[in-house]
Amino acid sequence: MSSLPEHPDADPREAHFEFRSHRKGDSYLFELEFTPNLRLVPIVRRFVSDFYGEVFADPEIISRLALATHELMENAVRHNSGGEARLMVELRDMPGAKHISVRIGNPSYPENIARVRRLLEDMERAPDLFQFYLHLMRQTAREPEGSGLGLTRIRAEGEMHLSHTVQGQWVEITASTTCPARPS
Amino acid sequence: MTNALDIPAIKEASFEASVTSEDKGVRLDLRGSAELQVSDLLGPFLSRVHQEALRLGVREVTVDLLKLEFMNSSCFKRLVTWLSALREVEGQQPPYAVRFLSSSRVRWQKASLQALSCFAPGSVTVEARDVA
Repeated sequence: MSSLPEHPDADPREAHFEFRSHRKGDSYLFELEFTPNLRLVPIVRRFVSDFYGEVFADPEIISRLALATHELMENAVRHNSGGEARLMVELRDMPGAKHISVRIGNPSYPENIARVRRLLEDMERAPDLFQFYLHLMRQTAREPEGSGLGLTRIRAEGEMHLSHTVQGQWVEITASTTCPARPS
Repeated sequence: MTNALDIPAIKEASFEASVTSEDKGVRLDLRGSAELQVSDLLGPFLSRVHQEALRLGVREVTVDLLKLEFMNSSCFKRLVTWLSALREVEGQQPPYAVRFLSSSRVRWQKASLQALSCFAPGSVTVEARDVA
């Protein structure tokens, strides 16, 4: 295990990450624990895209999941208050389909956690999600940071359900959907 | 490296952006994977393109995404900011049109460009090609 990188843009070879996978009942779970590192994000996106390709036949589904994975991981790196983040991908068998959840957990700052909570509540209340997305684009076009477009994009473009849990400083955001599985 | 428009290209390990003059206007080529690390470069780059397009009075800016594997939300937002600036230019009509060349097989491009088309109707057109 190597030491933590000093900067989230450090060489990913210097980042610590640990991968685990296991099957439990009708679920398959894999977890990746990683030190916040932006350069790790596209590597993981490509890795999980290959994995998603083994499970789902439709490239559109793979693209939606890849987008969600990328945006969630980047969020976890950008808003990390110090400490490792954890990506968890869980697949659950359903008749003719798979339920998939992509969950990211990381320690974060209270203001970021509050912002996530507000955004997800606003999204949930919005009568038309696409209009909500357009409104957010207009509202934040001139803001340099923290627009919430990443999470909204997962919902509006990726068409995935979003939820979150908070325990102290640890926040977990989950993007989930049910999709037809690749015929075996 | 510069081009005829004197806008330096972006050349990073995983992402490149360049701009060239065309008969009808200006052409942007985005290649690779546009992620958080390049969004701070992409913003000023697009701002320069906008200023040059206004200065030259071009009628169209073409943005070729055919070789763009992925774009994250930070870089997507740079496109939003650019189109927002275009909408704010005074006048009855937008001074120039933005035409995106995209792949109909790449889902994120379809979804993101649909959003941009609705964000800036009358300014954005999308030409989707059946290429991987």
